[in-house]
Amino acid sequence: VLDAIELLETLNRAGVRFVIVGGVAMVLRGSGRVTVDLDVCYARDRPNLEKLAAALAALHPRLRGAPPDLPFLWDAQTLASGLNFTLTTDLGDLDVLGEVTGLGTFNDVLQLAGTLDVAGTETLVLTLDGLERAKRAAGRAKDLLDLAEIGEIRKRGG
Amino acid sequence: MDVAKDRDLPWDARILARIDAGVDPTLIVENLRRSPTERLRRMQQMLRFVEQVRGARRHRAA
Repeated sequence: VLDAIELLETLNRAGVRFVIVGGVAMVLRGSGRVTVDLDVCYARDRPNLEKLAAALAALHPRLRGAPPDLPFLWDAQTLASGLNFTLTTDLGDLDVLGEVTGLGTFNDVLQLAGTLDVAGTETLVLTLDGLERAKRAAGRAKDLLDLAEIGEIRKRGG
Repeated sequence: MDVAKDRDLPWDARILARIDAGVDPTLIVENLRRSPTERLRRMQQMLRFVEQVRGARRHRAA
């Protein structure tokens, strides 16, 4: 089961530069939905890749849905060679995204993020404007329902 | 429905004007009264509850 708070604390303790996007961002902004994974958009400079790789190493990240015997080396080089990774960790499912559909890379996402206190740490979270843009670009049925919820959150002053 | 005005709306707004998306405003009001951390903790409690129910069902089926 996802332990988003512990996962976020792990990333924050390591000083990883990231923005929370996706379902957990929706929840933090006031949505009543339940999500089973944490999505974060990370900065792709080398020091951040090193921090991200080291922070998650102890949580035994593996590729979600891949055969268990498929070799997978989790390190900064793997991160540098790829972009978006859907992982399973000891604290639940985690998507680490170098790019978010409809928004772009970390620096683009950063423009649409604001800080929220999450378990005592100021953490960057995608704003309602950013979520709306990402959901509209993704365009799946569940994104449409999220767009309806974003409209309702705005109406209620969220 | 004003067709000309409707044409200017984004795709999602055009669909949402025609369906019930099932958004519960009382749930949102309740959530907005909570801090972001409380919102996340509540979601995690729900996830754990769902997992417990699933576990109980698996146990009963075995």
